[in-house]
Amino acid sequence: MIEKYNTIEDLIESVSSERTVSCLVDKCLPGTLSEAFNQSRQWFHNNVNWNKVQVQNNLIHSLFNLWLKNYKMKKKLISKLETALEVVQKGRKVIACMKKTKDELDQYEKLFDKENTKVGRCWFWMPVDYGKNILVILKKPKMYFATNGDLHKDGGPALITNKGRKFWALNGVLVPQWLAETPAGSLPIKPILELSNVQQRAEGFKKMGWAKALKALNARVVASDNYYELLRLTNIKLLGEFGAMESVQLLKMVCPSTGISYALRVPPNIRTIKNALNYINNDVVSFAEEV
Amino acid sequence: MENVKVVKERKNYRQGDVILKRVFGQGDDKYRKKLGNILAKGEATGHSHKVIGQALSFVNDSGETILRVVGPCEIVHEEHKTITPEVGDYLMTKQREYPDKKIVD
Repeated sequence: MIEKYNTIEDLIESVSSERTVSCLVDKCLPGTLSEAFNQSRQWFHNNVNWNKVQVQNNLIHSLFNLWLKNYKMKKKLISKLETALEVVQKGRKVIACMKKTKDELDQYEKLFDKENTKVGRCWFWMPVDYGKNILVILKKPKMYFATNGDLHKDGGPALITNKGRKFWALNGVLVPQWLAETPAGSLPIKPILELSNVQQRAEGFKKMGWAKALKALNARVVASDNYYELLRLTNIKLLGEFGAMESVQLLKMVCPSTGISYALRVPPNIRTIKNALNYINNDVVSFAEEV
Repeated sequence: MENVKVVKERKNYRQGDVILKRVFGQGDDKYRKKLGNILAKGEATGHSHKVIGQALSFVNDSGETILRVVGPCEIVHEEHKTITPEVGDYLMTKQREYPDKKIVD
């Protein structure tokens, strides 16, 4: 029987009767596929080694992040891996095939006929080491990328799955819909400031423009250093430590590795960069390496 | 005979929002809950701080994550530069922001 999986959920559902997925890839397909398959497996061993993970609602989220990051590399693999991958899970096998006719699929199925094999066909495969070495397959979603290969679309969803699920991303960072779709000139500053995810907040500031954002916040520089600025926001208050509304101080910093600017909230009574850094670094004051 | 004062040097490391603070006296890891080689993972990017080499991470009696480096080891990340902690035990924490909460990235 040939089964077709259009989504990750369908495939996971088909290979796992339990909530925990733990699969082992331990056999190669015959012929020229072996080499490609080994390369794929080796790639995952070298690059990914997740622990046993529960199948959760954020499965797609986690998976496609990993996938997209290595999109270019996977494109190379795809060109080599023309046909099939094998997944073994608790004695059951799933073979995902790409661009194969029904006859060819039947041949594959016969190869594993005695071993309770499932054969699945998809137009695009997505190998991800999920659990121990499970490979999952996803029909290619519609995606938009920045020139550097990051998932990115300003003004709409950056990824639309075949079931119509949408994800918004700016420069490789998943962001809320409103942040991706609101024009830069109309972005409200307070919701950006209140984003709990630091990467998303940074993308918000970047989209709005740091200068414009700091002007909108009426930020006053309390102290500054090479990579850091301690900013006091004079026209905005947020919930503080004891549940009361407090004035806000931000430590704006430039990551030495990426060059990306971030802003972290620090206590309102801090007056020096050193004290602000001590706070965000949990009072660890010196580092042998800091990147 | 010359008196030599032995001082345990505390070398700490930071890679992005992950802080490795040198600690001592963490004891045997034999019966501790072992963790994988991903120290932390970004929710919005999928990027991870990954341990490669002779190290293991486990949960200590206080529920904290300890990275035990026993040989050559690297912490790699998709964007941040690689760090190479020396042999020893490290308490893994994340940067925080006000009001006291761990950074989510």
